[in-house]
Amino acid sequence: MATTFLHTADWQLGKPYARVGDASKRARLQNERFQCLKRLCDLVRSRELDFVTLAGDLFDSPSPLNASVATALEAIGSMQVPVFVIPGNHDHGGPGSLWEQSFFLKQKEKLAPNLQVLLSPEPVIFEKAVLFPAPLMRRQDLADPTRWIRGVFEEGVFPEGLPRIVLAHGSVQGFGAVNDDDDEFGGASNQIDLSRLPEDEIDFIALGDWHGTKKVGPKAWYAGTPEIDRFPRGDGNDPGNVLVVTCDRAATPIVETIRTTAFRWNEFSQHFSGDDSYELFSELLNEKIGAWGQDSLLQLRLTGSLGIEKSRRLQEDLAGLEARLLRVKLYDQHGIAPTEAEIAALESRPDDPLISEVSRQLIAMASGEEAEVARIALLELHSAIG
Amino acid sequence: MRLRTLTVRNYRLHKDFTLEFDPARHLIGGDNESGKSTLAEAIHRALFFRHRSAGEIQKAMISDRHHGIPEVDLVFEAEGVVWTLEKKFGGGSKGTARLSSDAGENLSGDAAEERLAKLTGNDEGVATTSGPLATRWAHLWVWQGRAGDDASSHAANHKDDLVRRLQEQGLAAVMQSATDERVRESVRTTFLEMFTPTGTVKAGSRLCRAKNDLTEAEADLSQSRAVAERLETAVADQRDAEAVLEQSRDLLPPARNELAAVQAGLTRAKDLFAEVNLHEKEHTAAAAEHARRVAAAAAIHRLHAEAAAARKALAPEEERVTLLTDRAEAANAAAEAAERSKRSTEDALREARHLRDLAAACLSEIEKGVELAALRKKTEDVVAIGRSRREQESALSALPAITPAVLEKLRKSEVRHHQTKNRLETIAAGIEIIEAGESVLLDGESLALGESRIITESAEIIVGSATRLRIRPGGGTSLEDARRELATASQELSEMLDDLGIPDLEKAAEISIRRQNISQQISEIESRLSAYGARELPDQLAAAESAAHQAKTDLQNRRAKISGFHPGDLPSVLEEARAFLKTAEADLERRQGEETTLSQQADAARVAQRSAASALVKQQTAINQERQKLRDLEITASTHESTAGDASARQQAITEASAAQAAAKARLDLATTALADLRPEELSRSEARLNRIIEQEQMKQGDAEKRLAVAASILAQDGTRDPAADLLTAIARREARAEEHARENRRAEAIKLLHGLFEKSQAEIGASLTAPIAERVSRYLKPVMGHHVEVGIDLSDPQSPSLSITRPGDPAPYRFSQLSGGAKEQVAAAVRLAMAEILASGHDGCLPILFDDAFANADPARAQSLQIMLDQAANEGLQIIVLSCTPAHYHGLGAKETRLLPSRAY
Repeated sequence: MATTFLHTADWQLGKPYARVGDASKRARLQNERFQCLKRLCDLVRSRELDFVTLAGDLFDSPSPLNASVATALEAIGSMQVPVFVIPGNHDHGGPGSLWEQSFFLKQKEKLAPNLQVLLSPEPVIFEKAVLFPAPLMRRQDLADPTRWIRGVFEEGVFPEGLPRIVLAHGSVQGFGAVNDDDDEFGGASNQIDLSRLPEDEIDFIALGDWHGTKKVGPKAWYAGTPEIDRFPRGDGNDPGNVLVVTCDRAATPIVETIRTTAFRWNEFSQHFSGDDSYELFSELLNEKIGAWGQDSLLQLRLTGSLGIEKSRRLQEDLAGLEARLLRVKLYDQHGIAPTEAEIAALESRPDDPLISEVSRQLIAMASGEEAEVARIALLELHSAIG
Repeated sequence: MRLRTLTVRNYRLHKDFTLEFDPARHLIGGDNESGKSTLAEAIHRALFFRHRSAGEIQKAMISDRHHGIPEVDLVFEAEGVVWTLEKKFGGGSKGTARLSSDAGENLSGDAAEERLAKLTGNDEGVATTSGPLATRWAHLWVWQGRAGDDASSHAANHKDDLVRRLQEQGLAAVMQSATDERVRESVRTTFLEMFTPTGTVKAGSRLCRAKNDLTEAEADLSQSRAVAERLETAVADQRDAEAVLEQSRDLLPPARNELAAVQAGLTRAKDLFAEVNLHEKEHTAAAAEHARRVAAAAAIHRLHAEAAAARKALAPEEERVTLLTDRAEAANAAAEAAERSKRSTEDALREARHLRDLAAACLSEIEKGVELAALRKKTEDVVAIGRSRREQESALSALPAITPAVLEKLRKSEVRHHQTKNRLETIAAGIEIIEAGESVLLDGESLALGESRIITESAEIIVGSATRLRIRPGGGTSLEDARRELATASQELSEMLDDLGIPDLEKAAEISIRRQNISQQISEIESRLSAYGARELPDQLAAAESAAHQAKTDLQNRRAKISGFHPGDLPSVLEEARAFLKTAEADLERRQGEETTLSQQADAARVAQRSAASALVKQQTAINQERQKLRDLEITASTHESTAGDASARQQAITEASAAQAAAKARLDLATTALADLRPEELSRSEARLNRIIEQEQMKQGDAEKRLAVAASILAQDGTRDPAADLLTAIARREARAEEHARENRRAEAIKLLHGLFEKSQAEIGASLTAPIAERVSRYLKPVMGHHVEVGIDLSDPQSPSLSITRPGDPAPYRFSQLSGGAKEQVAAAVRLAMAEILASGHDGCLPILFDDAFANADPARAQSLQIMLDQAANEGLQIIVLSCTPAHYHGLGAKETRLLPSRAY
């Protein structure tokens, strides 16, 4: 019997976005993760999906705030179909975990009776499918959490027509979450060996942990996070989606990727080859921001060198950019290289011998051991001269 | 610029006075109030004070002696031509100014003033009030009393001009501009916002705030980490505790089962142990009974044997008792006989002793009577001698008491009388009428011819009617003294004789001899009395009488003790008494010998008697003990036999006891083997081990349960905080703060670097300006302060320029303010000359420099050295004008001299 369900993962509700300095922008980013759940709910309803699988990291932490818990449960409750969740490395089970806390249990009962948290490595059989959950009971488990599934089909008997779905959270052959600037704990690597799972016995492997949407096997898919929470990591990384999966027993699953993210996390790199390149950069960046809109985040990498005046302008422009966008993550490795005109203007001041002398010494130092300090001093001097 | 001619009219005390300046050196001498300073002022006013200005300055120029507007004409060289300046200070519209040159330039009024300002290098323009006026050429015009000012301030004031001149000469490189100063000040302000002047980070600065923020964020992070670690520890604890509990659950049941089995074994062992104990006791009792019966039979046998032996040993001892009893009785009889003999001898001895005592008493009574009679006779003799002595004593007392001492005293008195009399006679004058024509009267008594008279006192002699003579024997008082002494001596002698009741000294001598004879006799009597022992005699007599009485009494007593003895039987004379005593003593001695012999015999008999008795008692005691032993043995044997029965009964009992012992031993062996088979020690060890295991596991369980509870309480979240999110936030915050701090730090370092470069560069530029001045000042000072003097000038702070002087051997440079008054004048003059020299390059190589009584503190030696400096400056092209009230001090300058006279109106 074929079934169509929503596969999602890595909601990481309650993520603090600690590196976003502005409190209101931080709140917007945090809030958007909850807003995204409404879009998912709409999808479940509009597509009349049978159930939802959430392959780990519903919450960003094993100890989320009550408000996060309540909001999440409310959203899950409104989906009105069974929602199966396994704990991931961020919200792992075990002693003192969220899943044992009385507040969660009571609120679940009240707000999301359709939610089933699968804390035991044992099959779950319901009318639409048989689930094989691989919950993480600690942040990092050196043993493969799916190992119990390897021999389960030799011992157990499962309903004939129900598709068999594995639910797991971790890395497969180099794929998995990596540290980002907001994820101190992400480095925990829980390795899943897909090759040791009996392929013919399983109809779909619903994976979580890797934030991009990714097919990693004939039947194995990372859903990715539905709301992007970090800057892109190379080509082929496609976060911000959920998967609508149709599968049947012993049939190849049909997987549809649905875009759900609201915020855009962009990156832009610029190598300055001189003051002339600055204007081009400025124009291009403005264009791009116009296209992205205000609700975007930017990871900006700057290399090369600019003259003193342009460096000053860059600083001003960056300040403006930071105010406009939700976040600017800057990797500024560009150097200050006074132009010939600037050097001449500083050093050849017959009426201002003192400034000339000081400038001459600073320019000499700007290529020596104290280069960085000397360059800043040049900027300050330039600014003081006006 | 060089001054040529000055003319002043109606200017204070000067009516019309012209002075032609020497092109190089001019000395204007004159006393105080002669108008020297007025000339210096007039030149300065002409050059710098506006001709139309009124006010105090203009009023002060007006003469109180001469009528007319104050006028000053000044001819000078400038810009290569000769200029004539004519100024009338009318205090308003009456004031005029004209400036003309031999090159044909003619200016008047303000145009003249402007041109003049240019010629003098006066950038600020002509002055109208005293304040600005005072600053014009202040470095060239040294007013009275201002020579000791620090001239380096002028250098600061004229810095721009100095720099210009130095740049023209290629001496100083550059000088900072207003932009330089603004930027430097801006950097300095920023630096001081960040750092204290000593370069430490300022509290409240951005860098300091960034550092504080970072510290705060680090503390926050550390706290968040602690919370997270606490949670992780709690999770680990909970897992560990659960593992422990699971292990305990596996371990405890088998351990408990094993313990139960061991304890059952131990219970069985306990029962067996009790059984073994019981059998052991039974066996012991049976063995003891058997032994007791065997021993009792043996004892009876032994007792019978011992009793037989005792009876056999007793017979000879009984015989010996009989023998010793006989011996004791014989000794008793011998002792009694000896005692009787001894007692009879003692009575005869007592009688002999009484007789001897009576004989002794009789002899004593006779001897005492003889002694008493002798003493009585002696007493009578002594009484007779005493009577004779009393007679002699009464004869002596009838004689006057003329002792040899009294007689000697009398003789001395008589001698003194004769001596006094002879002396009087020696002093006295003798008068004798050998031949007389007229009558001669002595003290009114006439002296006959040949009559001789002795005059012992003053006497008047009248010879005839016309002659009167006064004779004073001895010359006066000594005659009188002699007479007085004679009278005293006569009186003393007669008084002594009267007292003794004798007529003269001869009688006295006779009585004295008689007294000595009687005394001699008395002495002899006393010797006799002494020989008799007259003093002790009464005591001796009393004692003898008492002894005689005692002896008589004793005799009577002794006689009474002897019955049948009559008084007449006793001897009455001494010899008889002595013989009687001798006889009695011999009898006593004989009796005593007999008594001693008998006593010794009696003592020996008593010793033999005691010895026999003792031997008998000893033997009787010994035999009694042996008899008792025998009785005891017989009783014991009898007692045993009554208990144990006869010999066959005893043997029967022994056989039965032996059988009972063997049965008990068999039961004991059986139980012991059963107990050993159980190995109870091993069971005990197992029980202890299992108890230990169970106890440890229970403790572990308890501990794990506690840990579980603690972990659960720590892990119970109330949902108001998310420690994981808090930690991420704290990490991000710390990183942001660290970045901010690094940024601020880099900027602070940059500002510090910039500030340092500005200060250093400015100091270097300042040095390039001051070096030429300092070099010139040093040159001026070398002749006066030594060849190695070095001068430093720091103009970096225009508000407080500073000058320092270094000489070899000085520990540190002297600052200007540290110099003495004279040295200050000297150094200030050198600075002025050096500046003027440099500035002169803008004035055709010459500028006038005027010193108005400038060196008030200079002694002649210093004045001499100052002249060398001034001369040197003149040689360098400057025009030196010196005004002095002591022009003689400046002869060394070799200047043209103008002398002003005070009374004269110029």
